[in-house]
Amino acid sequence: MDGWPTQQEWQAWLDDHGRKFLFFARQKARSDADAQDLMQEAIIEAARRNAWQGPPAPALVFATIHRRAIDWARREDRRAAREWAASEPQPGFWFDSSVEDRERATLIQEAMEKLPPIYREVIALKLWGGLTFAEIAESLDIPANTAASRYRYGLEELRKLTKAVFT
Amino acid sequence: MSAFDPEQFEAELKRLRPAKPPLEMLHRISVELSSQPARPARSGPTQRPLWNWPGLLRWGLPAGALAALCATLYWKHQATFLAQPPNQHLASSGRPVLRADKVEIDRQWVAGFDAVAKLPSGEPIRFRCEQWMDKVQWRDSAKGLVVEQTTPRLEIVPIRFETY
Repeated sequence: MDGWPTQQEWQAWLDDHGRKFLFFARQKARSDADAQDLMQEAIIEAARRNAWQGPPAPALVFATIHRRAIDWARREDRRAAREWAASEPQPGFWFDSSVEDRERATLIQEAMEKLPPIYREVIALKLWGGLTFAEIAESLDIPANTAASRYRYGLEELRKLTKAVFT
Repeated sequence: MSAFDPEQFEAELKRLRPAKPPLEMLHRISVELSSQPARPARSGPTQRPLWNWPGLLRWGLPAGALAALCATLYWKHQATFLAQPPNQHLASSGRPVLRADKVEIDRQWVAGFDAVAKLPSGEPIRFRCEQWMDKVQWRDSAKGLVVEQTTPRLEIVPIRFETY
């Protein structure tokens, strides 16, 4: 890209990638509002870390979301444990869905929420983030084999939880 | 889907698209990104002065002093070496001056005693301690030279009480 991207160029980049960033942030945040804040902060930080070379690679944004979420959790654990316990379930829909698919989307969202976070984050990055296992490993700071096995186990768990839909 | 087919299941899941973030949010981010303060110029490596005098002085002076010291020592050593008679050159050059045609290895028992201690578990243990003097002797019959080396050695053998 020649020169610093304009607002329109950033907008186009966000149109391409924004939904998968928010989806991943939703896996890491305690509420929908937190997920949006997390995504915004991570994108701006990733752009800075990219040394202003233009829009950062999606894997870098995912890694930044992951790291920021850990920082948030550490910082807020003591202060907001009470708020967390009392927090409402996330009201937003994670998926775009037509009326016919709404039930299926809701069921998958509920099943995803029941998955252990270590499976959920890998599934989110692989299926809806479009990352390879190598990129997932780098983003989450885990070995690639671990990423692959978590994905496999997570997929099996998800399938058990959604048997009613996929039989 | 009776048997679990991961690929088919993946394809089913991928049919769902993550929800798009609110437009207002995307707009907010794009505005913030495009209005970032002027980024640093994308120049190559930062230009540094050709001669960094403070740095040169900080490292150059001690390094120069060390180099001068090494050179002096080397020169003195060379001068001493050249001043020696030729025979000493040979002796110090590492060539063997002793051709041993007979080597004797011997050991002498000096003393022996027992010591008692306790293991961390509380179990008593006895040590048998023996002092030896090892001796090696090289003999060069042609030159009539004998070189003898003696080394004291302490041998400690732990013995359990039951064994003892």
